[in-house]
Amino acid sequence: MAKTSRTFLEFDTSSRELFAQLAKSLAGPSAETLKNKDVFFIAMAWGHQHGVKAKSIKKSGTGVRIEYLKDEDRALIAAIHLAECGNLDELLEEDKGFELAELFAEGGIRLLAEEMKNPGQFGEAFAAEIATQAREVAVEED
Amino acid sequence: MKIDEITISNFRQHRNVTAKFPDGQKSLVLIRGLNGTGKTNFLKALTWGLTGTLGPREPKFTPSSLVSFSAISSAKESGEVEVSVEMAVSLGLAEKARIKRSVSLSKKGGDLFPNAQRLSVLTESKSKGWDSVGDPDLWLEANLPERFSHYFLFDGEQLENFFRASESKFVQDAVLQIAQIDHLDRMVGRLGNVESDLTSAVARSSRGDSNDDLESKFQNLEVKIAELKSSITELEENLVLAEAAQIESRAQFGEIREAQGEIRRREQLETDVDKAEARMETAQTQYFTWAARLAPMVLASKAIDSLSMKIEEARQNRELPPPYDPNALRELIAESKCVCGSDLSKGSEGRKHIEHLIEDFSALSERGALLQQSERPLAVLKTRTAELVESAERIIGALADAQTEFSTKSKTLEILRQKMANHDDQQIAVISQAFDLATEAVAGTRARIAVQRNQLKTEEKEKADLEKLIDAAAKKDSKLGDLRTQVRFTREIQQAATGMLARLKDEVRETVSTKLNDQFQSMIWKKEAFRPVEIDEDYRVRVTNMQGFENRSGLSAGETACLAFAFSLTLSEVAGASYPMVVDSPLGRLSGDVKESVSEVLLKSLEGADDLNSRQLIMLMTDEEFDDQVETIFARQSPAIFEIQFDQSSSEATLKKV
Repeated sequence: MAKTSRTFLEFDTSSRELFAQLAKSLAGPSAETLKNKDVFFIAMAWGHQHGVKAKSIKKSGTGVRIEYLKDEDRALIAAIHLAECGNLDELLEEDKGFELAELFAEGGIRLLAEEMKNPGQFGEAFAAEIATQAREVAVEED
Repeated sequence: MKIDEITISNFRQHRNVTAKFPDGQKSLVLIRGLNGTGKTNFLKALTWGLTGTLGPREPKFTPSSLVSFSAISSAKESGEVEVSVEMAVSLGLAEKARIKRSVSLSKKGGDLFPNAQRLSVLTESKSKGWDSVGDPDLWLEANLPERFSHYFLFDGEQLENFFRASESKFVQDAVLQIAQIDHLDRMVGRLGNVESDLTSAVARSSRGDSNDDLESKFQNLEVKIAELKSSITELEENLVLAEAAQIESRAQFGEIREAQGEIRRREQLETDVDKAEARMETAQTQYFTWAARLAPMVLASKAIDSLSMKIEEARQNRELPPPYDPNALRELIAESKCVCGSDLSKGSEGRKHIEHLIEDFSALSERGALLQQSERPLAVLKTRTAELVESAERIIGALADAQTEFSTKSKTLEILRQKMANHDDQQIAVISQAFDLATEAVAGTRARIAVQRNQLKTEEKEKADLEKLIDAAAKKDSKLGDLRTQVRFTREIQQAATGMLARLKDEVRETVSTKLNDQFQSMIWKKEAFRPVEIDEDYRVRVTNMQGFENRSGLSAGETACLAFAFSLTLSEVAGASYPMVVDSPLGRLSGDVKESVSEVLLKSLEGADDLNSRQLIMLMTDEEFDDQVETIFARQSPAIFEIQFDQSSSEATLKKV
């Protein structure tokens, strides 16, 4: 696999505030905000599940440091990359996987922005949605 | 004594009120009026006129607090206002008197400044006509002693205070004064002084080298003892006031006790709600954290499964890297020999096969390496997902429990807050603090009295020892024989008189006790419920039930009223004198049959009363008290009935005969 030269998985310039808002909304009443990596992956997975990705992003220069990604994080990006392109050979182009992750993250955050217009209920609603999907996953595995 | 007429000027709402009790109707006078019309202040005016005080309910007051608002308003700047209460009284068959108490105040700068207070008493006799008495205070004290006054001039709604423990001193003084034993008490005291003076004289006269300081020691002890006695008396008076304050604040405290309990409960609930809210927030944070960790895996679960399947396929298709490293295969070619010994030189079949493997697996191994690289992390993701999914019910359940707990406690708190909406926490705290301070004051004063009594005992013993020393020193000097004899004689008389006094006090106490019991038993309807009422050695009025238990606090409102009236009448009987009984709201706390029964009791106390004797009952009642039944009962005595009204516009009360 070609080693990446990238430093960040980047937020779109216009979406930085939205990511910050997401970090605060999902933190819970007695916790600090979530980290950039957490909100990026949530937005990315949300965008992927809903099939919504941006056409391009205007890179903000901030986001998630690639050096901080664990193997599980890269595996998740690879899974989404494979699901999108269907070609194992494409997975060798890790930078393309990162780019796809950024586009899904941007798509996902835009979708979540609509939900976050009710900040008081968003956290509960989001957690409830994940709980529902978790039950479905549990049933499938059984 | 019987009051014939009262004129009140400028005393609170009684700007100018006159009540003349007609002949034939003086024994029973009823003054009726609504609440707030001035009945209580009418009693206070009468009390002030006769005693110079306003009664136990208002022990401290300033002269300016007596003045009616309308008098203040109409007085000119630098002008004077006079407050006065004047009474025409009859004392027995022929003697009459006019009592007038007044105080004048000057108005300056909107404030009032008292000037002179005056008391005058004029008595009428057949020979001399009207004549002013030399010492009006003494005359009043002789005819209606101030210490009796609150048994004859009182608020019927405060009867439970009649017999509180602190009253025992008043009871004792009243009983002893009635029997005129107080004179004997003072005489015994004077004998003690004579004895001390004589002892000092002996000590002074037997002065010698060893006796120089005996006299000064003796005198110092006398001074100390006198100071201690004075201090104890003052403390006992303070104790009476402190106990009165405690009783008043206890009554208020009793009312707020429930509120205090609710405040404590509310505070506890507020703490519980805060804790439940904190637990709920923690549970919510755990829930959110759980969701945030799980979200990417659950949302991309299909993609993860898909990649896992690809890895599985690759394994089955043997696309995953072989157990051989391509670099190791290149090394074999470079050596032109396989590890099994086969020839791998150029052009050999073996070499072609290995070169083919290197080419294929190089490409495959890059893809396969990627798959292999992803295999373990995907397994980790799946394990983590499974663990988080499994913990879902626990975390969601914990949050639901915390939310239920918070909701339940919040609702309970809200209900309690609504119930307490009219409470004033600050006022409750003030009342509670007042009660604590009053209780502390009582305990502190009692402790100081106990300490000083012990000190007094010690000093008196020291004095007795010193007297022996003085006597022993004087024995040596034959010239002091006479003085010593006088000291001994005085001491013996004093001891005998002290013994007689103690016996007399007991006799009087028992006599009053017996008469009180007779009066009380004649009044109550549950005669078989009580043992004889008595005044005990501490001069407390004791009511004991048939089981032998102290039961005064358990008396009904009607029985307490009867006991109070019985006590007043007993004092009159023992003193051989009658005092006018003036009662504010005598039936205020009573209702129905009890009210009628007590009315009958009061009426019975006037049996045989007419203008010729001194029994008089003046009652101030609300319309609720003076209902049709009560009116019918009292009508048998042909009472003088007055109506008191209050004019809001002038802030003045008026009194009219009905």
